[in-house]
Amino acid sequence: MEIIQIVAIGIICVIILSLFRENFEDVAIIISLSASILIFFIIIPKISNIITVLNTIADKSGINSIYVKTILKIIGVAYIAELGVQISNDADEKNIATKIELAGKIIIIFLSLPIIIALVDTIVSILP
Amino acid sequence: MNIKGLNCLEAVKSWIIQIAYISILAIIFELLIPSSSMKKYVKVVIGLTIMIAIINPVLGFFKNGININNALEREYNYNSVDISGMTKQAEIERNKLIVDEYKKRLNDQIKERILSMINASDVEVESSIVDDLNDKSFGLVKEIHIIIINNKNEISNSGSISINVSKSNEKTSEFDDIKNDISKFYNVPLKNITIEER
Repeated sequence: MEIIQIVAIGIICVIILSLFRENFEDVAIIISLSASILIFFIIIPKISNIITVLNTIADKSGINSIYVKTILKIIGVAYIAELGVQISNDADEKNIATKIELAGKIIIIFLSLPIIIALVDTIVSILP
Repeated sequence: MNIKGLNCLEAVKSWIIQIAYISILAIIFELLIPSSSMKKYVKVVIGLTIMIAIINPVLGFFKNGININNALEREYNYNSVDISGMTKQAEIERNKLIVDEYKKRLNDQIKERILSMINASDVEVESSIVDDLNDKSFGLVKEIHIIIINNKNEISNSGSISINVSKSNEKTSEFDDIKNDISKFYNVPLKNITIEER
């Protein structure tokens, strides 16, 4: 059961961090980052399964695969940006956190541009 | 329902299935989004994608153009041809029934008439008439063949030969009476009326 491993890693990290937070803050950040990446790698195989199923459903639904890929990319960007924002917040770097968040939002909008253009084209072509 | 209608139904069915799949996909995508300020952005993009997927089939419909007039005309012509064919067929059948019924009634009438005149156990009548309903002379009796079956007079009177001769003379005059009567009543030439005795 992955969830037990993940929770165990989380709890151990919390205990270590509570010990190191006051004296070795830089070490604490590294430990926090390592734990996040470790947990992320544990759940990667599950994510790949989910994405395979989603792709199958998308094929059946007849949506252009570009749209599905774009959405998955956007979700990935959101996750990565979230990770960066959380770590920055943990390190009390609100400024950096805000910038990462902004970058994430801009990249999401950038990725969604083809979809927006396609939709606008579709609506315009419907109108007589 | 014709083939075109079935195709249309099939298209609508596949469209509805597609929308169902897309809805499921959208829900799963929304579950995947991290619960942060990014959520609303991702949701917007997913919404746009769903919109495109739903609109696309409708777009094809609009692009091909809807030529309702043509379709209606084709349907209408098809139907009218079919109906007129059926009407003709029904008319032929009806005319045949009318002629048959007319003949039957005519034969029955002649039979009743003959039975009222002579004492026979049964009379069969076969008549030929002008059976074209469009003809002005429809119903005109052309020929009548009468078969008188089992004349009781003959059975009851099986006496000597002289009596038989007188009886047969009597019968002939009876037949002549019948002929004359029918000839007058139905306006049929005498030579076209034949009487047979069995």
